[in-house]
Amino acid sequence: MIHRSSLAAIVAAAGIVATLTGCSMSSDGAPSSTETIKIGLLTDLSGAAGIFGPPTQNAAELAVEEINAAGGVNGQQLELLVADETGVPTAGVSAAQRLIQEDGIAALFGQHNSATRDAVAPVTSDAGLAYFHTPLAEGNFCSANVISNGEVPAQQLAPAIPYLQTETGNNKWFLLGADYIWGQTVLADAEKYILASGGEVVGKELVPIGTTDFQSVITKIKQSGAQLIIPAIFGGDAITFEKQAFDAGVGNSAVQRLGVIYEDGTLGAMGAEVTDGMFVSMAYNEALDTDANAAFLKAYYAKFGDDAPPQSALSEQTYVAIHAWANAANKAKSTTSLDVLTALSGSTYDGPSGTVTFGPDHFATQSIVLTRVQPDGVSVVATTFDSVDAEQTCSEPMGK
Amino acid sequence: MDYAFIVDQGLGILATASVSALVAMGLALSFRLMGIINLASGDFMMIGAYSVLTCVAIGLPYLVGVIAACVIGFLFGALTEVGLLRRFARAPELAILGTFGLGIVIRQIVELIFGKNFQFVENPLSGSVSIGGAEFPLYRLVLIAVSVAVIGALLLVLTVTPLGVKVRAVAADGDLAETLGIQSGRLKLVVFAVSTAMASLAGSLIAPLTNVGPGMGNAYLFVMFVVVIVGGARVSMVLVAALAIAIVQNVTTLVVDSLVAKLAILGMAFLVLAATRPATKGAIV
Repeated sequence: MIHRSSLAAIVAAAGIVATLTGCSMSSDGAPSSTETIKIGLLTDLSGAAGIFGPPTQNAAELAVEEINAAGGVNGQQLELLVADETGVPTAGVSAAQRLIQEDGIAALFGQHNSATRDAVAPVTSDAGLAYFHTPLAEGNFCSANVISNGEVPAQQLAPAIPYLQTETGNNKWFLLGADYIWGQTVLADAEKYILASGGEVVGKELVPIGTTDFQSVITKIKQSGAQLIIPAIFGGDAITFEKQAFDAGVGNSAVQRLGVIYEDGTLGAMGAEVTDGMFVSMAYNEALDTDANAAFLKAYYAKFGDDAPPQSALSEQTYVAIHAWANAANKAKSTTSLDVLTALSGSTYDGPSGTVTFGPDHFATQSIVLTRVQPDGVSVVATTFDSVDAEQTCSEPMGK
Repeated sequence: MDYAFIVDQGLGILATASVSALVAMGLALSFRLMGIINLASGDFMMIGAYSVLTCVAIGLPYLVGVIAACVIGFLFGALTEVGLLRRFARAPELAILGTFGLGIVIRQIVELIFGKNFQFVENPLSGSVSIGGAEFPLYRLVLIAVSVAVIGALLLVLTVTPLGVKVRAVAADGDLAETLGIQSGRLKLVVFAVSTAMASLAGSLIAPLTNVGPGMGNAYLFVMFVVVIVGGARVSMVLVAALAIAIVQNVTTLVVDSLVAKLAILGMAFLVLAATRPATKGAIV
């Protein structure tokens, strides 16, 4: 009998060990030495948002390579350490703790959802570390050591909603959101801007992250008589929803999409038939026709090959954050949070999508690009909105 | 509430119920016959989805993928029964731990081979058809038809064939059945392999509708177990339970929202447990 129950224990133990080692960390290959300054990247390499991780890791590696080629930070080379936060806040916290305590990173860059940011921010604050939360998020987060350079709903929606109403001649909206702080804020903000521009909200729905069956939600949209929809759901959930909605006759030709996190990787996985005609409002798109973007993309695909995952606002913002941090650290001649963030406040960085201004409110004023997907699945720029303010009111000091 | 709306909802409920019924029926059978609670059921669904994914990726038709999923699910199930579950024969409750561990191992192996990222199977029957004025996705109709056919065939096997009689005999009293010359060991092997093949089939059928990833099974496992809790170990009651839960889930989502729907089916499980729990002698409260 003993060996039977111990077999069960062994199987379970093997599984647990495998799970633990599954959340491993990888280094970017640069030789580890006391001469380098280490920075950490916390990103989603698995889970619902796992699709966003690989291009983000690439963008970060590219930024580090460029900074090192230009002389590094205060004469020292940068070394990038990447950890998977798997979409789980507790996993993000333990990964951040490892990066800080065992690897001694000088700054943390996080491309993950805001639940993880809320959990990780106290850890970086205790360590006196500058922490950049880079992807688009709901805003309204205020902590001395945290910079949120990702676009917020105010930036994505305030100019895009009236533009779309004029463009389509329609104004009946359905709002669909992932049921957590970001989705909830997008829905609340969207309602505010829709009402302000003379539109009407005919339906609202929050769905749990990881929803696999959208049938009833799709029926609700059908019944509401909506002409436009803001789907604030991401990654795998977004792809599942759009594929199911298309098959149920609620595709983009029936209800016009205004995506707020439908980056090109997500759209590509939905298929060209499904995405035809969708609008997306984010801070960056590869389709931007500027010299800065052309140079960025040339360097990106030269380094990672033509098959590399496409860049989107979610990954490009990490590139912007690392460059802006390095510039500020060079200007401050220091890497402590207080010095770097003081130097960062009010500074600008000219990134692939234009000028980004880092305000004393811990957020970034930046341009927003509204793209539309063509029948062949390729996004083209419909219009851009320059220097859009994040409308934030954080009054914490920059760095502590 | 027009006619088209009711047709749309009715078919939607059937589609949701048929997937859970496929898996839950297998769960109920293996529990009844062997006392095994298979916590790796979700992972057998995942194996089915990856079977289809791989077949489609190497250029085989979708249908071949579905058949491959059944075969692979059956073989993996047989292997699991021989290699793992037999060792729990005297203490089946320990199999909860065993299948839990097995599930983790399967997920990790799949992750090593296919990576952590979601992958997608293109819908082989994209678009919708008009039924009674309702636009209903064609693929979901086929899903309902296939599930109903498989479940019907299985019920037929259980009720009218000699094999079905043996299965029911072992389910009623394994030791007594042995004395009548039924080789319950071999029978258990077949039943467990069929149960995992059904989970694998369900996984292959939902693959074009959702994301294929190593952890995809967990999203379904919750509902499957609620179905078995509500339905009990009788196969026919499991089917009723699958339908009842799909109705509660879809209607609550429609009328309230998805979160309340999840709570509602959990509440249903509690109610059924509370109502059917036999009165215990000397119960404290």
